[in-house]
Amino acid sequence: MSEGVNDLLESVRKDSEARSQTLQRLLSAADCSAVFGQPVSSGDYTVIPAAEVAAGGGFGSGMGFGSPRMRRSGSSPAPSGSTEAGGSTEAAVEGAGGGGGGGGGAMGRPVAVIVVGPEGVEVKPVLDVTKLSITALGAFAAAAALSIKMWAKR
Amino acid sequence: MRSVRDGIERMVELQTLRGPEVIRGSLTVTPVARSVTVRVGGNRGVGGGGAVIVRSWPSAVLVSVDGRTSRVRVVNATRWAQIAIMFAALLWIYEVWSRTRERKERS
Repeated sequence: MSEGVNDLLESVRKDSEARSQTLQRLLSAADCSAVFGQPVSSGDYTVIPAAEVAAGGGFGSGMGFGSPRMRRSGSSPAPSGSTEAGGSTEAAVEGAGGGGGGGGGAMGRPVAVIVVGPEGVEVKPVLDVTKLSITALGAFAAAAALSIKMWAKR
Repeated sequence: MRSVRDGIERMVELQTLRGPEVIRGSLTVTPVARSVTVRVGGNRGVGGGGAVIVRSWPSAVLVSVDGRTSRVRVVNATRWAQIAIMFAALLWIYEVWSRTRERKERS
C-alpha cells in the first residue's frame, strides 16, 4: 500500500516540476527579446521589429485517498475502532489516486517598426487590419442590434 | 490594508525591460518595453492550482546623440483604433437611445 502512495507522491512531484518548467516558459514572454526582434541592417538603415506578446496558462492538480476502513486481525471479532485481547483493528487506506491538468496559450502581434537611418530614428506603427475589421464588425453589429431593439420598443 | 497591498504586489509584477542597444555612429538607440505579470496560486506541493498571465509591449525608444537622450514613444496604433471604433459604437447607441427617449416624451 505504502508503495502505491510513494508512487503517487513521486508522480505528483514530477507533475509539480513539469508545471514549474511550463510556467518558466510562459514567463519568458516577459523578456525583452520576445518584444523586440533582432535588428536587421541594410545599407544605411537598421530596422528593429517590435511586437506585443501575451501568454497565459493555468493548471490544477489534486490527489486523494480512499476512506479508511478498519481491518481486523486476530481471532476474535472486535468492535470497530477498538483494540482488545485476541484481536486488533488498524486503519487501512483503500487506494489512492491523483491527477492534474493544465492549459495555456500565447499570442504575438507586430506593433511597430523602429527605423534607424541617416535622418534619425523613426517609429512606424503597424496597423492590424484583420483585428480592426473584427472589432468594427463586432462593435457595430452590437450597436445595430441594440438600436433595433430600442427602436422596436418605441 | 497593508497586507492586501503586499498581496497584490506579490501577485502583480510590473517591469521595465531594456533591449539591446543599436549603435550607428554617434547615435545610440535603446528599445524599452513594459511587462506585466499576474500570478495566482501556484503553490508547490500536493494539490492546488494556479495561473500566470504575462503581457509585454514596446513602450519607447531611447535615442542618445552626443550625450543627449530623447524618448520616442512607440504608439500601439491598432489598440487606439480599436478604442476609437468602440467609442464610435457607444456614441451611436447613445444617439439612438436619446432620440428614442425624445420621441417617447413627445408622444
